[in-house]
Amino acid sequence: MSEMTLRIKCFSLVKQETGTSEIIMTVSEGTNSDNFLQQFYRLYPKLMNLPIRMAVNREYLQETITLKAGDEIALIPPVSGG
Amino acid sequence: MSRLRIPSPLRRFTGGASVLDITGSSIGEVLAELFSIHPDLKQHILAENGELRNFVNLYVNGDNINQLDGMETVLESGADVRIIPAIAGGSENSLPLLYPKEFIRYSRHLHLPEVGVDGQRKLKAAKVLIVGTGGLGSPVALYLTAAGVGTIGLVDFDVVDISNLQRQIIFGVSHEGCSKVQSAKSRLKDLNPHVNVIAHEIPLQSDNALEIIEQYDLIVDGTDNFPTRYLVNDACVLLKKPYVYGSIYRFDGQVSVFNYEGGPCYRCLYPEPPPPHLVPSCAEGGVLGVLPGIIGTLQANEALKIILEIGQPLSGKIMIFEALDSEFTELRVKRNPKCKICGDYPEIKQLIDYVEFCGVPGQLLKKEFADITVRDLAEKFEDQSAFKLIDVREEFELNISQLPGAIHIPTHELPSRLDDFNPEEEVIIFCRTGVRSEQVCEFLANHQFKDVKNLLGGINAWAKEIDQTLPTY
Repeated sequence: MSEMTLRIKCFSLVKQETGTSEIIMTVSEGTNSDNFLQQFYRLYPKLMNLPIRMAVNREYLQETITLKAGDEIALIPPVSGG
Repeated sequence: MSRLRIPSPLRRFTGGASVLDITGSSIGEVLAELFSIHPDLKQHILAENGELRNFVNLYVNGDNINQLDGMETVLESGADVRIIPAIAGGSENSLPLLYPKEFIRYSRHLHLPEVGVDGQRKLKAAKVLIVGTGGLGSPVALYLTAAGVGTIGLVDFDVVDISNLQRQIIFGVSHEGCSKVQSAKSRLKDLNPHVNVIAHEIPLQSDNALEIIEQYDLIVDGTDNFPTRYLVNDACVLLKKPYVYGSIYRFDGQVSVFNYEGGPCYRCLYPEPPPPHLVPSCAEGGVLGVLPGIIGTLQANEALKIILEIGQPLSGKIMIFEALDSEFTELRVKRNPKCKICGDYPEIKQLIDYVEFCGVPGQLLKKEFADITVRDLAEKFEDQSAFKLIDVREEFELNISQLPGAIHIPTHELPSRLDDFNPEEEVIIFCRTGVRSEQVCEFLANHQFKDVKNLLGGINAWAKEIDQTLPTY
């Protein structure tokens, strides 16, 4: 199966754990948003229990979608400081 | 003797006189004297309950008596007393009037056609509740007070600590140990005496949130914990009040407007809170001092736009600011029709127990480890009993304070170093204040460590009670 690359923008705790604000990830073509997040959690198991919200092309997802090559994915965990 | 000026519409009751010299040492006495000379005037100035009619204002030497002592206001000889009726007409006439001094104070607003006198009166009529008087609450309260928001409520039950001053700019050294809301109130009254500041010196909880929030038009969320954030969200949804959300962590902040004219709420974004301890607070994770200033002023901006009904409120969008890259990212978010509180078929119809909902420690979790006080630890040192003492703080914190004999393993390295220890032996864990170490104790207990203890209050408690030569931080 052919592959596609995705641009991942990391925020707050995700950025802290990955050590960078942007990463490129290669996944199988046709990967959906849920599968993607599972793969991401496997790479960074410490984030496993964190309810990370995902935005694709600057829009928060409300349901699972199939990702396309070149999609910009933002991973935003909740923060509570004030 | 005072000089009383009669406005033209009322001169038909004074036989055409525009200025009257009247004796009396207070406003009340002057009015009584006036009505004894011109009894027909009384019904046009006082309501049946004896108070000034809504549309009548009395000024003494340029100040409205509402800002002085009302009817008790004392008059010096030669005082200039004016009766100024409100001018009827226009759609905004139910809004409060501006005092002459306010025209000067707000002149930069009045120059903006988008604000103007009508907008300034909207601000004066507005009631805004700021939940949390900390890093975010400080700039929000200062700017909304400076802008002339008529009523500002502050909720907090904490006292000012020196470590707050790195970012909570509403406080000063003189406030150390004092109530946050009372300290903030005195600062705000000094900034703008025309603003009514209401101090709610209590923790916002399920049993008082609706009663407090109900009194306000708009809420600004500047709290520092998940239970209160979900509480504010749910209470605002139930009471149909919009609220301005702001949140910070280390170098990043988020801002949005929730529950605004059918837009999404916080639960549409995060239906469930993260497990306890997974997301560090600012006290644990740190925060750049200026960050709450940036996020708080963005929140104040949203609040002003909503009150003034100008521009586009940040509803349906989350704005994320990253200080290290100086980058703003805007992400769109829709209302979730399945949202448990603002969705089409809401499940939550009243406030719940938010501490339980967020699983905050000590409430629900069964502890598989023990606590130890710094005094007990000091005794153990004296008895030279065998135990392992582990410091789970970060490298930089060792430069501030250290305990003798401690093995240093930062929290994130511990999982890979478990083999260094015998799970049968006694292990005592400490950090700065006892929060991170509690997390580590839980982790070790879950990994078959039999005798794990958390040092209550951390090294700061040690510095206060046992070894005062150590600094606290």
